[in-house]
Amino acid sequence: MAEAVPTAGVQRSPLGVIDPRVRIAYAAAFAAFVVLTPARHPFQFLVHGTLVAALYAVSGLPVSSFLKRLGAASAFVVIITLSAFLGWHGEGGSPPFLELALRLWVKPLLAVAGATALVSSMEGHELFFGLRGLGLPRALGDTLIFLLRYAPTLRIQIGELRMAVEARSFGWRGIAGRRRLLSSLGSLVGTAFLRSLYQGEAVYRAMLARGFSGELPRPRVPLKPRDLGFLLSGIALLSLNFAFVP
Amino acid sequence: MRIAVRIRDLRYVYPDGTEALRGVDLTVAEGERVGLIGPNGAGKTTLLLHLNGLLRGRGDIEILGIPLRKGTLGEIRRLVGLLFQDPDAQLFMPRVFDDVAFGPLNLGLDDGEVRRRVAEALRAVGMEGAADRAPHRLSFGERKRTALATILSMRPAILALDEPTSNLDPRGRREFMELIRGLGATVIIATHDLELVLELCGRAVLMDRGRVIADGPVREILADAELMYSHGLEVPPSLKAWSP
Repeated sequence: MAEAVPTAGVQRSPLGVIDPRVRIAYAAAFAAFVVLTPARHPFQFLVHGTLVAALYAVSGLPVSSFLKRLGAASAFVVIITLSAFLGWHGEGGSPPFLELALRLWVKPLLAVAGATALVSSMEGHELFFGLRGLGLPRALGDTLIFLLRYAPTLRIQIGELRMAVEARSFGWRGIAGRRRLLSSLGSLVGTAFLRSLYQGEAVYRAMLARGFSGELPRPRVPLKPRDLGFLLSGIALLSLNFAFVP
Repeated sequence: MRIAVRIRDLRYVYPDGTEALRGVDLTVAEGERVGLIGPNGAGKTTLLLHLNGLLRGRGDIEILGIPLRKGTLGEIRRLVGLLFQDPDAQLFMPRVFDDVAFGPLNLGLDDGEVRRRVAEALRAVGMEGAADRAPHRLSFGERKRTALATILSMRPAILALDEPTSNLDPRGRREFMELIRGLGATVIIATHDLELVLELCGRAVLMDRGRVIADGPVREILADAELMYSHGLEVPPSLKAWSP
């Protein structure tokens, strides 16, 4: 694609040039290896952690964005860990702290961090086309693609409708005001729904006009040697770490 | 000269009962640029939607000698590129490249040819470098130009443009006109922008209430004040300025 279509202005990180299908597949493989690694061997988790740091370093993600995604995804990990400690009824009165921490906290955190570094460095369309390339059902993939395209348009339209409502309203205070607000919200949602229906019809016509026959076409993008190299070397590293315990 | 579009006695009634076309006859020669003018509800857009087979009324339509029917729909859609008024209806993929490639891929072209056509179409509309951008992040003028690229990539013989300059700023409008002028294809433009018709088209077709009211040289039609006023239009300012 890059050969024929100039993509000036799009800065790709070293990880960004790897095919999305490979990145998604490797994220799944990485998570599987982390989960399957026995919690008795902290050294292996150290290697996994180093790998995540390396992936992050080449992902081009800003630190804040990476931490934000990680924080949102790992909140549930903290809750599970706490509840496991509080509800521990095993022998000996207290859990083997390191093993439990590795099993309940480090494992999910590493899996999420690896996936974040690999997948968050993609644009939305890369993620969906990547998933489709990996066998995501066509209907689901196409729906996600339309959602990605039209969510911002719908948001803008709702914003415009809201402004139109507010421009002709004079406060929502009191019971009467609240009633007006609720009734306005109802109209707004209804109008947004109707507009999206009309938009859907117009889009479908535009698709038919360009020969649409039921499936969103996509050019075949063969995997490049660098993609295969990335995948194979990554899997080899995970396998070595899994097989050889110091 | 070869006939690009031949329409005979075309009639169309919308499901709600609105008679949109009431026996339209129109012939457009290859390479001709025709301005389709008329008040709101005249049937201009409905007529354009018929050229591509998106609406099917009663009557006969031939595109470059091919009669429009179910079996020829694919061929007709390859020949007629339809530009919609709202670029957000035309740009439905999450990335400009995929949108411009949509038509050529549906034509069954190989990947190399698709990429060549995408690059060529984007270059033609001055959007090279935007292939990886999301359509909703483009300005309105950029979206209009990209929408045109989505049909240029199919290399249609006939361009049917619905209000191509609406909501464009003067510079965007000027660029759009120069772009259309340089294409050399048969062009049918449905528009309220009479100055655009005057500058770009050699012929004007005035429609009102689903019928063709007048058809002739653009200056003759547009300068006829009585005709224009009686159908909800006005003589363009540039023609007023030059009239005695």
